[in-house]
Amino acid sequence: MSSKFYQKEIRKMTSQKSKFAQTALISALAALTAVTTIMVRVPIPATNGYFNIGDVFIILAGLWLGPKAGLIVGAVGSSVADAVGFPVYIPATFAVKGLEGLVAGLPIKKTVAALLAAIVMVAGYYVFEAFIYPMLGNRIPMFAITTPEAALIALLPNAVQGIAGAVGGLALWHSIANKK
Amino acid sequence: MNRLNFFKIHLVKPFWLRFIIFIIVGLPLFSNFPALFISQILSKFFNPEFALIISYPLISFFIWLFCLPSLGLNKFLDYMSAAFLMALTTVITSSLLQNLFPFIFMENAYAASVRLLRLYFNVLAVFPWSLTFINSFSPDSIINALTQLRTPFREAGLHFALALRVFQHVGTVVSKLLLIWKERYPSLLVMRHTGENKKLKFIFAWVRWLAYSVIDWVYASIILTFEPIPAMVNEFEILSERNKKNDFSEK
Repeated sequence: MSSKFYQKEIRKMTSQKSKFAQTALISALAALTAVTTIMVRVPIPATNGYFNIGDVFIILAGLWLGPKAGLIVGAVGSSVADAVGFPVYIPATFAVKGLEGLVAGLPIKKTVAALLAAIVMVAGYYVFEAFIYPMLGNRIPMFAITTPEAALIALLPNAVQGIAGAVGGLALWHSIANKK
Repeated sequence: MNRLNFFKIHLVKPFWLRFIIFIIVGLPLFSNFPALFISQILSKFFNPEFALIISYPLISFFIWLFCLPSLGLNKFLDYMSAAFLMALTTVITSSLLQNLFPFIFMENAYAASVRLLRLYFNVLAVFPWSLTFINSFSPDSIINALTQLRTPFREAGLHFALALRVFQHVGTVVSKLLLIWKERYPSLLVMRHTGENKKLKFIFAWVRWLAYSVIDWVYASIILTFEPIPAMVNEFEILSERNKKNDFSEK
């Protein structure tokens, strides 16, 4: 069957107002976010974090299904991936990726929303890595994994990750969900 | 009774005990402590660095043994091939980027190798563990249990059961898709054919590979993941309608 057939099916499904259809789509995108986040992980030794490509599905979820869905997909899908191997990043990821999905779903021009979401992700991780984690690390040693200098180094891979996520998310949204 | 049934985690009842066992067995995947503990014991017999390195495959081996009886040999080998592919892609991409952009991924060679080795065995254990975990809980038994609950809980439970079914489906799709993906884009895994000595040429080849292969993978995974969703949604809507009608007739 051609991909156009699937595109039609997917569009039909998202046009349904059923709550079950929303649950199914959000669960599928959250699962795909977790898988793609785990699939390509490049460790960034400076911050003990990692580069990944999971943002594609978070931004797609926001653009396609709206801010609430983007928030759930970003917060849940990415935190599940962080639980495996990088649990100390769960609080940061839950907040930052959730916010990224939420911003991607804002009712503004899609390109602007995707880019804004990427900026929120980069800025959010910078704030956590440069200020919140070092501050928490003074009281709870588990969080003493990064410094403001290390957070500066991580800006570049995070920016590449954000741009790749925005471009990929927009491309996917255009190919499968754009009704125009 | 088959003697192996004792080791099949999906047969353990009640469900909360099954859940607790999964969390305990999966603990080394979430935390460093079990690996450090094992390496402390092993360091009595080996060099401490070597003890730490072999603690990772030991943990992965234990998790494979835990998953094998529940999955059966064929399914286990399917999941393992997908896991090896995922782990290899991860460590090859990581080491490439670390060599190409040392100013971002600065770390001494030994520490970087240990980190990647840990990541490699982590992915190898995570993949079968998480798929066994998801597939050990049946959405049908959740739906059956829900029939005894009141309407609002029942509706929420149906959403939970649907989400679980979708997660199970994504697990199956991803493991099969990874193997197809490897057949189609083997270049990153077969380094000797890519002319890796010429750095600039290789960067271009790698970026092209990444763009094409990742886009293809993402698009295929979306299509295959979403294919059965309308049928699943219909099924749950019928169940929900039936529940509502039953409640109305009882009143």
